[in-house]
Amino acid sequence: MSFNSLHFLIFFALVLALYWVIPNRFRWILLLAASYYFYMSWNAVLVFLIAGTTLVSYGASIAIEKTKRVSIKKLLLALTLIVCLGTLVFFKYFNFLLKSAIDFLNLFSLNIDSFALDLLLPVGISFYTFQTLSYVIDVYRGDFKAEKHLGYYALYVSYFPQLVAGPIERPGDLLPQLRGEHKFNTDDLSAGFRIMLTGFFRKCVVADFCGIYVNNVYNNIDGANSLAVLIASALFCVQMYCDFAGYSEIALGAARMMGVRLTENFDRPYLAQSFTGFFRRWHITLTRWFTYYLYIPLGGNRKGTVRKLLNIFIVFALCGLWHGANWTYALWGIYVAVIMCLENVLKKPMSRLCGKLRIDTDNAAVVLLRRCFTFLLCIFGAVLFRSRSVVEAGSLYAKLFADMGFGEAYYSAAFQSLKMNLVSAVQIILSIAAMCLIYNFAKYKPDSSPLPLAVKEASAYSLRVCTYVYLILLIALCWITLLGMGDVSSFVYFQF
Amino acid sequence: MTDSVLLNSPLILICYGIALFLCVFELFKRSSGYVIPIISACVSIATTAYALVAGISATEAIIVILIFLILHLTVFSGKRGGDDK
Repeated sequence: MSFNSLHFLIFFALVLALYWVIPNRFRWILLLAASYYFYMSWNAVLVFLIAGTTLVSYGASIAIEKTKRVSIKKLLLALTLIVCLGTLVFFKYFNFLLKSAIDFLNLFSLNIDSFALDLLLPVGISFYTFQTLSYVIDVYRGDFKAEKHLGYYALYVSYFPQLVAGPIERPGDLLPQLRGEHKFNTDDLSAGFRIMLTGFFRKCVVADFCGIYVNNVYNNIDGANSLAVLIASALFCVQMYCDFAGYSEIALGAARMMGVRLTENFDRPYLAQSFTGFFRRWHITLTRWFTYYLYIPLGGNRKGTVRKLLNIFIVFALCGLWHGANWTYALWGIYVAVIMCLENVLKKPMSRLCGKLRIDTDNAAVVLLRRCFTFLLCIFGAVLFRSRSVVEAGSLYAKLFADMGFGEAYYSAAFQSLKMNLVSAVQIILSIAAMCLIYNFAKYKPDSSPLPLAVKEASAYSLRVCTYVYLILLIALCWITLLGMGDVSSFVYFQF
Repeated sequence: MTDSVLLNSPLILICYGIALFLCVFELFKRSSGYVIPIISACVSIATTAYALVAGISATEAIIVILIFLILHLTVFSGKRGGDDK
């Protein structure tokens, strides 16, 4: 049941209606049942996996809290980590590790036949495993008291708006909200609806249409030239952002309509002026998870420059692998790690150089240049991220840097391989422009004109309703168009 | 182009023209509070609804709505108050 399906809309409307009708003390039962139904709609059998992970981490956290001996606490934590991470590694990485090992052994002429287990990747396993781990580690550290109510804890692990693709919530942020009493609030309802609409806009109007042209190039690399690869990769960056930010906004909106505030996962990442800044704004909850539970325990920036760089490298290399069991993701992680390390090393010399050359780093032109450079780095990384294999990524890089040209024939060949005409190009440009402006939609409030406040509020409300109508019309038209083309796609991050 | 319902219907073109003029007027003058943007939005939405009934293609409708949405958001972003989210 994808968020951009009719099935989900009906399901959510029913759950929301029931949620506000039944008394507060029974709501967790409704939400838990709805969450498990939501998960089972992907694959009913794999529900035992999430239930098993929930039970193991629930029991372990209570035992960790009760026991006084540090060695037993450590042993329990280690066992929970082994079970939870072991499940993740088995389902997500087993075939990848097996194939890599066989390929490596075959380098020594052992001629082992390649084989793979018939494993189905459970939807959202990386997300709920990380959320479970964050709970157990927080209880172990004493940052959070173990939840005694199994129902609330199971709901924390499986809360359906953020179950399959985050945001990855820390227990202190989500569990008290799930336990708390929520009164019907029209402000939350309208804010949630607005956030959901912008999420659907990003997904249906921008991401899915960008995805069509990205697929045209990446599915037919031989026919593409440098410009086509560059445009497709830039569009892939937009697609990834709108797809994942759109999903996150739908999750945030759905939770907000039920009175729960989830953590924002994106903060306009393509406005970042460095790669470090980019990852502070992109998938914020994953970066936060790696910072709290890996970077800081490894020593963070407290143990000298070399150790800090090594820690950054480890964190981002693992972050790359977290995205999927493929060497392209591993290489993407290394690419990000190298750039982050370079930025760290060059930060001081660059600011000294700018000082000597009297370059104002806050100058609008410099800021724009830095943003463009950061986006260019994202595009180069996107080639690795989108490619299905390292060989494919290699040939795309070769196209990108070697197959350059000028002239009308070259440009028309690029647009032919994108299968993009003038009308579709205009549509993409307009939708990206609207996406940039839609951020302001959240900030609407009465202006400072001398009209009475009631009139201004009523007018602002009317204008907001007009925007809703525009958005609903657009989303419906795009959704119908995509359905007609057979191009309604699931969210990219569901596969992670 | 010759098949375009949008370009072959004077009524739709005039209505969109009025909505566009009102929106652009407000964008440059910024004097009417919220009245003109609301009229412009209502005219454009009603015209789109009529155009869809008249058989405008989805791509044409999407582009037209996107143009009005962008203008609408630009007008509105100029009217917002503080910087809180």
